[in-house]
Amino acid sequence: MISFERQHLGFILAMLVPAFLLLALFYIWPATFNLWNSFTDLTLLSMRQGGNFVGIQNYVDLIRDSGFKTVIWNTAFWLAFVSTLIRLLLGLGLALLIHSEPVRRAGLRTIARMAILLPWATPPIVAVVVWRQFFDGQGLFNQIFLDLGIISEPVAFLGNQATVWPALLMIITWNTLPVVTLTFLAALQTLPKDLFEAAEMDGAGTWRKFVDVTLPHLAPTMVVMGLLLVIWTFNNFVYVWLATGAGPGTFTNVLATEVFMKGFISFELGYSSAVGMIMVAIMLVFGAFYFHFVASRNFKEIM
Amino acid sequence: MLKLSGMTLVASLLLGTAVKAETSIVFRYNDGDVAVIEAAVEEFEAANPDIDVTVERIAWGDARTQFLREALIGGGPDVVHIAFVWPLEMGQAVALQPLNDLISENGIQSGIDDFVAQDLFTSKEGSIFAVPWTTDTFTLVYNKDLLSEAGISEFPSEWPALAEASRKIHEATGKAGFGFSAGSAASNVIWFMLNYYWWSNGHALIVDDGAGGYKMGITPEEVAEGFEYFASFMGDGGNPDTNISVSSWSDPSIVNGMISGHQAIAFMPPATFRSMLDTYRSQTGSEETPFASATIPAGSAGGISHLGGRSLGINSNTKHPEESFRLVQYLTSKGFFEKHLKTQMPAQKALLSSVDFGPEMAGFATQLANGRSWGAYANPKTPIGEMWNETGRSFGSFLIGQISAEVAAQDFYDKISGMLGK
Amino acid sequence: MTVAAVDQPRERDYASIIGNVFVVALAVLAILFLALPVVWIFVGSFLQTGNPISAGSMKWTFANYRTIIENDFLIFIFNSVFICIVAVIICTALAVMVAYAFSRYRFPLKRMAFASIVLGQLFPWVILVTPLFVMFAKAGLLNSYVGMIFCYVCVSLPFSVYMLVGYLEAVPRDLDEAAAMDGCSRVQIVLQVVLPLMLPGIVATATYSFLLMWTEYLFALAFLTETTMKTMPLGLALFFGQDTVDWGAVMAASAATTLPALLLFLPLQSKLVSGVTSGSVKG
Repeated sequence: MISFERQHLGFILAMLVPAFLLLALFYIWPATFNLWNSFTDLTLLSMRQGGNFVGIQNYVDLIRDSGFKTVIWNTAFWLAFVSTLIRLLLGLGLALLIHSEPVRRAGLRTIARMAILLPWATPPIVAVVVWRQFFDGQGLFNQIFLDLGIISEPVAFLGNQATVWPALLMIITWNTLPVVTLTFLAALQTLPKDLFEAAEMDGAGTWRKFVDVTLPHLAPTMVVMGLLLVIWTFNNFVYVWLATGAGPGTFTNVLATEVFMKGFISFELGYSSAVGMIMVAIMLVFGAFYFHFVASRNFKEIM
Repeated sequence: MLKLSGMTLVASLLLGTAVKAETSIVFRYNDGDVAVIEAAVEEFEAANPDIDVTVERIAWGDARTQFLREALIGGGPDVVHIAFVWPLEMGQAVALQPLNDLISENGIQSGIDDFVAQDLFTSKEGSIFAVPWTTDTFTLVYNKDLLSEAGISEFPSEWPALAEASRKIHEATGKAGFGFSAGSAASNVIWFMLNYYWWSNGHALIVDDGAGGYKMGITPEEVAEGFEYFASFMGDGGNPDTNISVSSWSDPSIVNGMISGHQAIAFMPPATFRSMLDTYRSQTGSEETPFASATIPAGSAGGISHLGGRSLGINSNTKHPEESFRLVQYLTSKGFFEKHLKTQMPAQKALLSSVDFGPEMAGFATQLANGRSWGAYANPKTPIGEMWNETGRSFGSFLIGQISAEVAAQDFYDKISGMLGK
Repeated sequence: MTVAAVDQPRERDYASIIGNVFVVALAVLAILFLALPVVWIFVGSFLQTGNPISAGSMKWTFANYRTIIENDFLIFIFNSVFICIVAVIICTALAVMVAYAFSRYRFPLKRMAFASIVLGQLFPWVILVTPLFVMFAKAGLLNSYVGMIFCYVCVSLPFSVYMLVGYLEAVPRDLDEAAAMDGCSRVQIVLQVVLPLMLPGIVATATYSFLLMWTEYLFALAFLTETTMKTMPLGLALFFGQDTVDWGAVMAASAATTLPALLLFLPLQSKLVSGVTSGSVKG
C-alpha cells in the first residue's frame, strides 16, 4: 500500500473523480428530490403547480395503513429471508453436485456449467413470461400433476395463498441461481487439498469431510453471497410486479411494488417517495451492518 | 449536449434520402396495429407535404403515467392516443390543451356534438380536452354448441340466470361455464364486470351530487353483493379457480379456452373477440364459427355496459397545434375509418350507424347502444386508474379468503369515499 | 469418493454405485430444471401459438420472427447492443481506475469513499425514476444514447468497483513496486502489469454489468419513447397488447432477447466459473 503523499494526489484524483462525479449526479440529486417530496402532497397530476409541504403526514399515514405491516413482512420474510435461504441452499447443493466426482466422470460437468448460464442470460421479463405459462391453469405443472394424480383439479399456483409465494420464489430462484452457483463453484475450486487428505487419514467419511472441511471453507462465501442476495432482491420490483401484480388482492405486495403502485398507478408521488425513503432507511441500516461486518473485514488490507 | 438521433440514422439508412419537411410532429399510437396507422400517416403526409409525422408507441399499461410525466415536465409527443377517461384529468393537469379554439376555427367532421361520451371530454368549465376517436364496449360472447349441449336454448338475459347457466354448463359438460379473469392486477377485468352489475341494478360508484360535486352512489352492502355475485362463479359455478391468477381479458386461458371449446362464455371487448374469431378460423380452416355475442344481462335498470374507447389529445407543449389538429381531423375522417382503421368503430354517431358488424358481432352492436359513459367517475378527485386498481385488490383479498365480502366491501367503500373527501 | 479400494467388501461397492447413479440423476434433473424454460422459449418461438403444449396446431413456422422484424426488432437489437457495449466499456474502465486507487493508495476519506460505493449497490432504483426523468428532461437526455449509457454506467458501477477491488487483492503489490523501480509510469503499471493479471476478473465484472444492463426495463421504459431508440426489453413488452397478445411474437422476441447474451456467454463459460464474484467473496 502506497502511503499518502502530495505527489500522488493528482493521480488518485484522476482515478476517482470521473466515477464519483457520475455517481453523485445519478444518486445524490434524485435522493434529495425524493426526500423533499416525501414531505409534500405532490401528485403526478399536480406536477405543474408543485406539492404543498405537509410535514411528516405521509409517514404518519404510512404507519397507520394496516396494509403496510404486511408489505414489510412480505419484503423482509419472503423476499429477503426465505428467497435468500433457498438460493443459498440450492446454489450450494448445485455447486457440490457439479463439482462431484460422479458428475465429472459422467461427462456432465461442462454441460451443467453451460446449463447454469441459460437462466442468467434470460431477462427477468422473459423468465416471468415462461414461468407464468408453466403455472397456468392448462400449463405444464398442472398437466403433469393431473397426469400423475397428485391433484384432481388444476391449481392456480399464482392465485392462492398457499402457493403464490412458493411459485414466485421459484421464478426468482430459477433466474438468479446461476450467480450463486458459480460463486460457490469458484470457491470450491480453491478447496485446500491437504486438509482433505488429513481428514481422510483420520478415517473421516464423506459427510464428516463435508462438515469439517468443505463447509468451513465455504462459510465466508455464504455470508457475503447471502448479504448480496438480500440487497439485490430487496430492491427488485420486476418479478413480483410482472408475475402477480402484487396480488391476489395485495397478498404479495412488497416495498418496491408499493412504491411503484403508489407512484405510478395512484400518482401519489409524495406518499410513494415516503415509502421509498423507508426502503432507503432500511437499506442504510443493513448496509452499515454489511460494511462493518463484511466489506471492511474482507478488505482489511486496504482500509 | 450530444444527442445521437437514431431516428435520422435509421431513416436515412432505410430510405437513402433525407426527409425534408417544414414541420415535424410526433403521434403516439398505443395499439398493436401500428402498420395500419403508418400507412394512413403516409397518405396524410402526401396530402400535407408541409407536415412530417413520426409514429411511436408505448404499451397501454405504461401510457398514462409516461405521457403525464413527459407533458408535465415540458415534453412529450404532439398528438397522443389516450383512453376515454383520461382527457379530463390530463386537461386539468395541463398536460393536454383545450381544443375549443381549434375546433371552432377549423371545424371537425359533422361537428363536435356528433361525437359520443361528451361528458368525458368537456370539463365543467366547457373546455374540450380531446376528440373521441374510436369506441367500443365489453360484452358477453359464447359458444352456441356448448350452450345447447348443456340444454340451454337461449342466452340468459338476467344476472341470476347467467350464474345458473354457467353452473349448469359446467355440470353438464365438464367444461368451464362463464370463465373470466378474476385476478387483481392494476388493470383487472373485474372492475368492468362489477360496474356493469352495479349499473344494471341501478347503482353507481360515483354520481353527481347535483351541486357541482360528486358523491358515492352505492352502499357498502351493494358493493359486497356484487363481490359475492361474481365470487359465486368460482369453481363449481363454472369459472375455473385457476382464473384467479389471470388479470387480462385477452389472457390465453380465456381466449384459447374459448377457441378450443373448453369454455362456453367469456367477457371481452370487440377487438379481442375479432382476434379470437380469426384464430379460430385459421386453426380450423372453416369460415363457420360456433361463436356469438350476447348483451349484458339486465337488472332493474337494464343491461348496462360502459362506453369505452380511445380519444386523441393534443399536448399542451406542442409548438405546432395547427398541424397537430390537422392530423386529428384526418384521423377522425370517414375516409380514414373506411380505408385504414377498419377493425375499430368510430366514436361518431354519424359514422357508427353505417358500420357493418357482421353476424357474430351483433351483440356488440346492440350493447353499444346500451353503453353509458363513465360520467361522474372521471372527476379530479377519484382517478379511474386508482379506483380500478383498488377494486381488483379488494375483490381479490375477498376471493382468496383473506377477508369476508363485507370487510372487503367496507374497506373499498372507505377508500373511495376517502378519495372523494380529500 | 475415488475408485473403491480393492479390499473393501462388495456391499460397499453396490452402495457407492447406487450413490453415484443417484448423484448423476440429480445432476440431470438440475440441468433439466435450468434448461427447460429456455428450450421452451426457443421451441415456442417457432410455433404459431407460442406455447408448446397449448391447444391448437403444432405447425412449425418462421412467421413469429417475421412479425418481430416487421415491428422494428432489429433496431431494438442494435440499440441494446450499442448502449450496453459502450456502457460496459465505460463502466469497467472507470471501475478499474477506482479499484486501483482504492487497492494501492492510502488517501484521506478513503473509508468513507469506499462505504459510499458499497451503499450505492443498496439503492432502490424504483425511487430514482421520476427524479432522473425530471433531470434528463432538463438536460435534453431523454431519447438519447448518452442518457441511457450514463444511467447504465451508474447502475452497475458500484458493484463493479466492489468486485474489482476484490480481484486486485489477488494481484501482488510487489509487482507494481518492481515495475515502478524499473521506471514505469503509474499509467504504464496499470495498463501493462496489473490489467493483464486481472483480466479474468475484468471479464467476470464486465459480464455481470452487461447482463444487468441487457435486461433492464424500468429506466429504459421511462427514458426511451421513440421507436427508433428503444431497447429489446421494451420491444418485447410492446407485444403484450391490451386486447390481444401475440404469443408467438412474444416468444420470438424472448428468444431474440436471450440469444445474444447466450452467444456472448458460452465461450466465456470456463472463465466465468473461475471469475464471477470470487473477487468480491474472498474470505
